[in-house]
Amino acid sequence: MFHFFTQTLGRLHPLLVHLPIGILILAILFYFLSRRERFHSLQPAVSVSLLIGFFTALLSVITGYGLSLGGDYAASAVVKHQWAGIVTVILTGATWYLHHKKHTLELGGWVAMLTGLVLTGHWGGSLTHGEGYLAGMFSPASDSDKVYTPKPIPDIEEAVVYTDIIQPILEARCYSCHSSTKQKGKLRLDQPEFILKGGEEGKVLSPGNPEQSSLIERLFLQDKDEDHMPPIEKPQPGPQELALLHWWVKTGGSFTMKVKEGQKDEKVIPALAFLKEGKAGPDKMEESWLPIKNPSSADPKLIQSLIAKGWAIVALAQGMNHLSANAIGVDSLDKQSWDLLEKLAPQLVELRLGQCAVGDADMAQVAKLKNLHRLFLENTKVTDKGLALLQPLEHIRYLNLSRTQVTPAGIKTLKPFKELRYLYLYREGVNGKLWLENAGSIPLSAIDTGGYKVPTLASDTIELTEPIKN
Amino acid sequence: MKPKHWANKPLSREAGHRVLQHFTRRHFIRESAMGLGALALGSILPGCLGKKEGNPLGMDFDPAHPMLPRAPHFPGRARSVIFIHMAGAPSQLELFSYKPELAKLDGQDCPPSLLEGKKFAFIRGVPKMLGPQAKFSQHGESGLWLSENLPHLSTVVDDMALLNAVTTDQFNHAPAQLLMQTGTPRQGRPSIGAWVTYGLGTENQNLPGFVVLTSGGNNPDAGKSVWGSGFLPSVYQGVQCRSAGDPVLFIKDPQGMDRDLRRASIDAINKINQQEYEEYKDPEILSRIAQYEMAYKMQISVPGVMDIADEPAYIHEMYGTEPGQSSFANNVLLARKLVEKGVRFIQLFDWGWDTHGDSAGNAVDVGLINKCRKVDKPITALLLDLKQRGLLDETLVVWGSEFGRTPMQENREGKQMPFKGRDHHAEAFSIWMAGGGIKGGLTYGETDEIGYSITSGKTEVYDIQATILNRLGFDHEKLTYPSQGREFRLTDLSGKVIHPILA
Repeated sequence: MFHFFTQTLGRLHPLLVHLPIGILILAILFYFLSRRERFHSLQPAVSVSLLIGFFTALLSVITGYGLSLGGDYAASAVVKHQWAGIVTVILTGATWYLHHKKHTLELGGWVAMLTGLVLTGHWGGSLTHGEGYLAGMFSPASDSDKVYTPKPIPDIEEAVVYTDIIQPILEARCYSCHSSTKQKGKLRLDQPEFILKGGEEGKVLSPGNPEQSSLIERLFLQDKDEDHMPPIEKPQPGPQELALLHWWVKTGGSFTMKVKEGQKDEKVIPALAFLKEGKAGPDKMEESWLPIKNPSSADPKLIQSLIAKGWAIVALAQGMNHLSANAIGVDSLDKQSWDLLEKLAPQLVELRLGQCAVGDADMAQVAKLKNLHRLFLENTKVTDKGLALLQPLEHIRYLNLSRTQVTPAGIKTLKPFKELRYLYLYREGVNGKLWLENAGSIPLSAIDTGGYKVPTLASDTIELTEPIKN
Repeated sequence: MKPKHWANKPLSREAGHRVLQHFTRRHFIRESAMGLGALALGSILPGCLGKKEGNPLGMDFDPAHPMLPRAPHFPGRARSVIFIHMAGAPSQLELFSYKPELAKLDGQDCPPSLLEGKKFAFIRGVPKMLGPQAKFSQHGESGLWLSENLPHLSTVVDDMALLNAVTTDQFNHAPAQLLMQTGTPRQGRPSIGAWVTYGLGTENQNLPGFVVLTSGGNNPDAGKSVWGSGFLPSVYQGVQCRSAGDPVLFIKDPQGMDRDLRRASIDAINKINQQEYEEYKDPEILSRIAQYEMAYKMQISVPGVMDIADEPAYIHEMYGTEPGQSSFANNVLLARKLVEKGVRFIQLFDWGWDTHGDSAGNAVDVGLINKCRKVDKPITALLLDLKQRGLLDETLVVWGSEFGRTPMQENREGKQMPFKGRDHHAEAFSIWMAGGGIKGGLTYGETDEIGYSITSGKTEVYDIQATILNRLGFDHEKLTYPSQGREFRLTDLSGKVIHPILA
């Protein structure tokens, strides 16, 4: 019964409140109009509409009380609205009585009722739409305050993760339903102690375990999942924000930790870099290795000519003009191919030459493809000499040199490649340590020197005919 | 009538697809008396010519070149998929799902609460609980639990995302395999490999885009439908290759027929087919011409790629392969070679995991261990070899089966079985994924303390499919094909991408 009262009737409150507002304003209108000779015929409607307004107002108060028991709203924020509502009902009743008795104080009753109605409505609106919703109408800037626009943090390493990074995100994305005014699911996120306390379903933060923390997990649910947060009709956090929130919980969900103290993963590094410049970052994290700007579209004729020569040329995605070229079906790399590729240089971000007979001489041609981000040279005849020719490719992020003729000494020439993150170096017979010693100063999040072994265990070759006895 | 209006209706979209299949652009220009009129038609059939999606290459689905690479919906993390399907359903309770509580219940009667309202393939009456028949320990930095039956795989757990709460609604092999591979328990729908090849084409025009290799002495119970193309053009069906003998039957020219004669005969056949096409405009004829051309090229390219003899000794040592034999290990090494050669989707089926306990070979403490010993080393070698070649980043490896096995010992016809076995269990089983934009070293989803029901992270078969498509750059709800008056998709009306396991 209690549940029915709070959950079902209570939820009707935001709907019902519009009845007394409309009806009472109509009653006020009828009353003042009917005082004039021309609209005298409205006189009988005043009493009726006032009475209907009274009952709908009473119903609103009852359902409103039910909703407040549901606990989604702070008692302190509700109290003003609640009492204003009760007083308005009483004033409505009183006005009806005064009107009925044609009392001299009648006019005062109407004015007081209107005041009560306006105040109740305003405070109710603040509960639903947040403080200052109406004020936002006059200062457009305050509306965009709610959108997440990070301030530049020049000294990002010294920043306190919670205060400088996490709290602004929570403020922009969560406070409207989970702070002092409203506490949906009995959850507040505006103070560390409330975050730790959790909501009606228990704790939301499991330090070190983002997958076990509903605070994080629910952000990553599918949009159509009803547990997805923020609700899908609200603005959604971008991938950078998600990466930062995830990282914060993964590193222990501390409220005092500085950025430099947390171990950084591949996703949070670009997010922090964007934060340093005060940018929200691109909409899709996975594309972040790509130039953010979509190049102009390539000439289809160039592409067709390359396809005719056996090249596989494809855009990275529909609507994107970035191209990937794969020489897998190419018999020989002639000058014409290189000329065509050079014309595609603005669009060409990925070049796959593995499985194809290229050597050092070809690297001079590759070096002209300045927009390359990913370069595959595995299993080719490229040596240190060829590698040294690639210096102009300043955007290289992924470089596959596995099973080439490149030596550990040769990879020292990779130092100027500021954006290099993935480097594959496996070569049969070369000790992995040698590679790592020479790659030492290259900032890499993934470097692989290969040479893995899968030893044959005694058990691998034995076929059982009966259970092993312990 | 506004063009936008009827481009949205399924039937007219399908009609548009048919128009597209009937005429290549070359036909359009050559055969249309009013070339410009035809181009104008193109502009009022916006969805049909594929340009609506904004592919700058404007060459989506050209039936004369159905295998040319095409762009996905968004940049994919994976470029190829190796789907290792253990046909027969390995026991998750002896491999991935660590249930110490189940050991304590070993030999006790199964509580009636687990049996009420449930159907099993073979269990009748009240079976006994069967404790795990393998020891488990934690491995890697991530501390993933894995059993002693997989000593090699235990060394690479930090690259794997282990899904321990997968569920299906089919408890017989054939329908469950069809559900896993085609998105429906009945025959006739395209398999996931066909969908992917239809969506992405393939990078190597000399090899099929979708290759199937089977081992274990049998094809999967559901037959070849699990790599069929359904209503998609037949060129997208999986090409089954053999790992011993000729990789494709009759791939060599017969004695007395040289390459030139072969070329001449194919040219003649194609010419007749072309005339046939001109008369009937059936797009499948164009598919057939493309297939003849591909077959001709494959006569040269396939024997090369399917021969593992040229691999160095250290690779054979790593995978445990022996050239010339027919084995799962050889298939795994071939899968790596095919990925290197730009093949889009490789399906490996290994038969013989159906451990009911009716014989030693089908017991969870004998036959299952033997099967593990045959696959553990090559699969581990595959992950490590892909890694050192820089391919694991963009190759999605999926290991799975059609369902799992019961925590109860099977009691066929209500009788005690001669060996320890488990019945089919659809409610909860394990699958793992690695590489291709999947986060490593994590377990997703949990079952109760005996591994019977899912307690968190429930993963449906459709979710696996949606996640595979997502890693390739597809929104699984938008990769569709019109048939019988409506758009069809792999995940039917379901499917959620498993975000927590995405890297």
